[in-house]
Amino acid sequence: MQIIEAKNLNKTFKMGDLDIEVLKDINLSIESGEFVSIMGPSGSGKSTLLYLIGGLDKPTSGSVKIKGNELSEMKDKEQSIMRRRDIGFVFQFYNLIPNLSVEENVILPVLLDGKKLKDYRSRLDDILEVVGLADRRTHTPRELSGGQQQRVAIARALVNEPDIILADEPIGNLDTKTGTEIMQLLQRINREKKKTIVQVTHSKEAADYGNRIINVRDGKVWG
Amino acid sequence: MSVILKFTIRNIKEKKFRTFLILFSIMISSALFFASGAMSGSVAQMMVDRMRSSVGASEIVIHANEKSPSGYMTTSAAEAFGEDMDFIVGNVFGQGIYKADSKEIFKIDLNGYVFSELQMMNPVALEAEYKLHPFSGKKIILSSATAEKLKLAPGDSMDLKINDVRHRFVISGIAQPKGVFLEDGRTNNAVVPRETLAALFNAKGRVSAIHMKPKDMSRKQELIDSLSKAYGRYTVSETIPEEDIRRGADAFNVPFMMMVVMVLVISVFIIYTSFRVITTEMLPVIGTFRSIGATKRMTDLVLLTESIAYGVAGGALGCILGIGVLKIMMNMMLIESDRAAGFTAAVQYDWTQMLAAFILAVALSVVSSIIPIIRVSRISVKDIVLNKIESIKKKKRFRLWLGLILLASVIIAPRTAPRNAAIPVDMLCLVLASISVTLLIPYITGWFIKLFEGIYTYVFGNEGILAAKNLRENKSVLNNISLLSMGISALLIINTISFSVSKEVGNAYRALDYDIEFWAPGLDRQKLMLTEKIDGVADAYGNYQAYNTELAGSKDSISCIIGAEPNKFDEYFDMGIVGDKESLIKELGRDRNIIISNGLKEKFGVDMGDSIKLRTKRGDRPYKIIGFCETIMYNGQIAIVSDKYLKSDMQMKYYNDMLVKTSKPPEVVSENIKKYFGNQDIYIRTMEEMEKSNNESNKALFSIFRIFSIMAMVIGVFGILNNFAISFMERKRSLAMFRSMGMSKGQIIKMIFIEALSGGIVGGAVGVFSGVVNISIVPYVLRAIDLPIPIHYSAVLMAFSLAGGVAVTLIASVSPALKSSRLNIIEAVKYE
Ligand SMILES: Nc1ncnc2c1ncn2[C@@H]1O[C@H](COP(=O)(O)OP(=O)(O)O)[C@@H](O)[C@H]1O
Ligand SMILES: [Mg+2]
Repeated sequence: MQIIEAKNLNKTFKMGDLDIEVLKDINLSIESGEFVSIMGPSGSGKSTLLYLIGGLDKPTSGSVKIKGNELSEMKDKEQSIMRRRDIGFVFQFYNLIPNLSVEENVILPVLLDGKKLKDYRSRLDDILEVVGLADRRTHTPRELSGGQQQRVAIARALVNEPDIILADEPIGNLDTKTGTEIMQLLQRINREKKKTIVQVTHSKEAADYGNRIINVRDGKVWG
Repeated sequence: MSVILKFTIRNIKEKKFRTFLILFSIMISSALFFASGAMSGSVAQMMVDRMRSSVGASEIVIHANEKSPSGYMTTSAAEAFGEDMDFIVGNVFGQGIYKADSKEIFKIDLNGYVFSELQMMNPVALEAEYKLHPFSGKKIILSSATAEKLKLAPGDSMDLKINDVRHRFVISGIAQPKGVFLEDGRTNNAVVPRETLAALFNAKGRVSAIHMKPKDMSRKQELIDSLSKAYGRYTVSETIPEEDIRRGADAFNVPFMMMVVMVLVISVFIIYTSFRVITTEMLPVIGTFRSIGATKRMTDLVLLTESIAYGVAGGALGCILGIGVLKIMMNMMLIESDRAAGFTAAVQYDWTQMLAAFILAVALSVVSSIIPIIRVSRISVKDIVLNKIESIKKKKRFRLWLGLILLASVIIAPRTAPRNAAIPVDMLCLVLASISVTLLIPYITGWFIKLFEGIYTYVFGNEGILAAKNLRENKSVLNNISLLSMGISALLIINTISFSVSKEVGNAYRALDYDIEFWAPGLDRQKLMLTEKIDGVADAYGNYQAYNTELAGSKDSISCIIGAEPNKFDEYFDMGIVGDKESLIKELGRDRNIIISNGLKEKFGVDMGDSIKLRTKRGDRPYKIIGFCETIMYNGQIAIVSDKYLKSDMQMKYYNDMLVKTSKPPEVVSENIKKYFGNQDIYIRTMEEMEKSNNESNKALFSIFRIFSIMAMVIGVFGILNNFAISFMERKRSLAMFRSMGMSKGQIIKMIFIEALSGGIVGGAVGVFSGVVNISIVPYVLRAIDLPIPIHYSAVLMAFSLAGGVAVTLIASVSPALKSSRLNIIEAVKYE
C-alpha cells in the first residue's frame, strides 16, 4: 500500500525579487513499512521535501497524499489531527519543550489529541522502556545528553502510534557511537512496530540503516 | 567595538516598540517626579502671589491684636527706623455699604492710603481719573470691575454708609484689577485718602496697619525684633510668612510622591524585563566578540551605554514633559475666584529639581538594567559559544521566604514606625510590597493552578492542562502576572485615595446638620432669640469656636475648639464622638472637660483621663480628656469643650456664627435673614453653597490625582503589551514544536487565551490583595501630614480592578495568539 505519494512537487522560495527553485517536479512514492533514507548534499532541498510531506509547509505546486488523503485539500484542523495521529516528527535539534519533564514531553501529542492521560499510562511506560529512558522520566531536557534528548523526541513521535515517522537528520548532532544507537533504535521500530520511516541524512552510513535510498540533488530526485 | 555599537543601534531602531516603551516609561517617571517635586514650590508660590497682590512690596507689618489697647496706632515709633527702610506705609481699613439704585446692597472694602505711599508699596495702574490730585477729602478709586458692576464712572458721586453714617464720595479714579484691586468677583476693593477714612473712625493721625520694607533684607529679623519692642502690645511680623507657607505646601506633595513611587516601580519592572531580552539578543554577538579578544569591560560598557542613552534621552524628554504636566496641574489648582481675579498659575521650579529629575531618569535606566547586564557579563565565553546559557534553575526556596518576610514587614512596619519617620518608611514599604509580590507570584500562581487544575481539565480540556503547565513554568508568563498585579495595585491605591477623599469631603458636610450659617457683627443671645423668630427659621444655634489655640508648654496647637451647647450640640453636629455621645456631651458641661479628635490624640500622644493645658486669654487652663471623636473637619485637628468654659476662658463676647435649621427652603430663609439684619454687614451661606465651593477647591486635587492614575495605567498597559510580545518571542520555538506535533491553530489560540485568562485572574487578585496591603499603609502617611482621612475600601473598585486586569491580559494576548497561529513552523524548528 502506498502510504506517502508526492506528485509533480515544486517549491520556490522568494528572496526579495529572486525566486529560488528548491524542489523541481519531484515524484515519489513510499510503501507502508518502508524505511527510506533521503540523501543528498547540504542545501539540496532534503529538509524542504520532508517538511512538505509532513504538511509543515505548503508546496508551490503539486500534490502530497498521506494515506490517500490530499494535504492541500485539508483544513488546518484536519492537517493538525493528521500530524498528531498519523505522523511523528524527529528533528536534528530534538526540539523538546525545555520546561516540561521527559514524560510530559512524550505525552504532549496525546494531550493535543484531547485524550485522557490516565488511559495512556501503560503505553507511556512501554515507550520509555523501548527508548531506554524509564529511569529518566521526571528529568527535564536540560538534564539529559544529546542522545537521550533525541530518544525523548523519538518516544514522543511514537506515543500516538502513528504509521509514519519523519526524521530530519536525527543523528546530525550526535557523536558516532550515540548516532549508531539511535539508528539501531529507529531500525528496530521499523521492524518490530512496522512503522514507515522517512529519514533525511547526508551520511551514507546512516542512510544504509534504511532499506531504500532516495537521492536528491539540485532539487531533483535521482534513482 | 564599533560593530557591537552598530549592532546595538540597529537593534534600537528595529525594536521600535520596545525602544518607545523604555523611553516612555523613563520619560513619564521623570516627568511625574519633576512635576510633583516642583508642585509644592509652585503651590507655595501661588499662595504667596495671592497674598502679595494686596500688600505689594511690604515685608514687615505691624497690626493690632486682641491685647492691643486699640485697633489703631501711630507711625511715629516706626518712623524712627526710617533710615533702615525703603518705605514706611501706614494704612487704615474700613468698610462701607453701597446701596445701588436697584436697592441691591454691596459691601465695599475701603483701604485708606496716602496715594504716593501706595504707589511706592503696591503701585496702582489707573485706567481713568477725575481730579484725583491732591488725593484728599472724599475721593475714591474703584477697580474697573467694581465700577462696571456698580455702573459708576469717573466724576460720579457715590454714597457710602460708613459706621451708619452716609457719606458722599466722588469717583476720582478707575484702576486696573491688579494689586490692591485684585478682586475675586465677590469682594469690592476701593482706595480712599487715609486721613479721610481715619477721621470717619475717630482715628485721626493713626493707622490700622504699618507696612515696611527694609533696605537691607538680611536685617529683616533684627528689625522685626526691634520694632516688636517699640510696639510692645501690637503684632510685628513678616508680612508674608514664606517659610511657613513653603513648609505647609511641602506636605502637599506627599500623596503625589507616593504615586510617583508606584509609577517608578512599574517602570523599573518594564526596563528590567526589556533589558533581559536585549541582553539575550546580544549574547551571540557578545560571545563572538569576547572570543576574539574583547574584554568583559568593553562588552559591559556597550550594554551600559545603551542603558545610559535611554536614561539621557528619556530624562531630557521627561523634563520637558514635566514642565507641561506641572503647568497643567497648576492650572487645575486655580479656583474660580482666581480666574475671576485674572490670576494666573505661576509655575515655579529651579534647575536643581530639573537636574534631580534628569538624574533620576538615568539612575532609573541604569539600576533597572544592571542586573541583566551583570548576568550576561558573568556567563563565560565558552558557555556563550557553546550555547549553554540556560543553566539548570532549581526552584529557589529562599525567594518564597524572602517574599513572605518582606510582606510581613510591609504590614508591620508602617504600624510601628514613629510618626516622624512615617513618610520614608511608608514609601519604602510601597516599593517592598512590589518586590514581595514579584517574588511570591510564581508560588501564588502555582497554588492557584493546583487549586484549579481539576476544573481546568474539566472546562478547557487538555489545552487547559498545557496552559496550566506554562503558567507554572514559563518565566515571561509569570512576569506578565507580576506586572499586571503591580499595575492593578497602583491603580487601586490611587483610585481608592481619591475615592476616599471625595467621599470624606462629602461626609464632612454630613457632619453639619443645619441649613444656613451666617455671621453678622455682635451676634449674642438676644440676636439668637430674635433670629429664631424670623420667618422660616425652625431653630437657631449660637456657635462658639476658638482657632489655633496653643497648648501650654509646647509648640502644638489645636486648629479649632468648638464650644458645645450641651442641649443642642448633638442636633447640629455629628463629630463622630466615640462612645455614649449624649452623656459625653453632658459631661462636657460639668467641668473643664474636653473631647479631642483621634488625630490630635495621636499627635499629642495623650490618652483618656489625661489633662491638656490650653493657653487661654485667662491663662493656662487644664482640660481633662473625657473622650475622642473621628472627623476630618479642620483636617481632624479639632476638639470640643462646653460653650460655657470656652466663652469664659477665651473671653468671648459674641458667637462666631449662627447656625440655622429652616422650615422653608434655605434660599428663601437666607433672604429673610438678610432682610432682617438690614444694612448690616452679614455674611451668610446655605449648606448647598458651602458644599459647592468646597467641592470646587477639591475638584482640582482630584483631577490631578486622575492624571497620575491615567499615566500609571498607560505605563502599566504598555508594559503588559510589551511583556506579551516578549514572551511570544521567547516561546516561538515551543509553539512551533506544538504545531509540528499537530496542535491546531484553534488549540494554540485557546491555550494562549486560557493562560491570559488565568494570568489575568491571578494577577488581578494578587494586585487587589497587594493594593489593599498598600492602601492600609496610606492612612499612616496621611496622618503624618495631618490629613487623617479614613480610607474607604470599595468593593466595586476592587471588582473593576480585577475585571480590568483580566480584560487587559485578554486584549494583550490577541496579537500573540494571532501571530502564533500564523507562525512559520520550519523557521522556528530548523535552526538552533
Ligand atoms: N525559508 C526559506 N527561504 C529561502 N530559502 C530557503 C528557505 N528554506 C530553505 N531555503 C533554501 O532552500 C535550499 C534547500 O534547503 P534545505 O531543504 O534546508 O536543504 P537541506 O536540508 O538539503 O540541507 C537551500 O538553498 C536553502 O537556502
Ligand atoms: Mg536539512
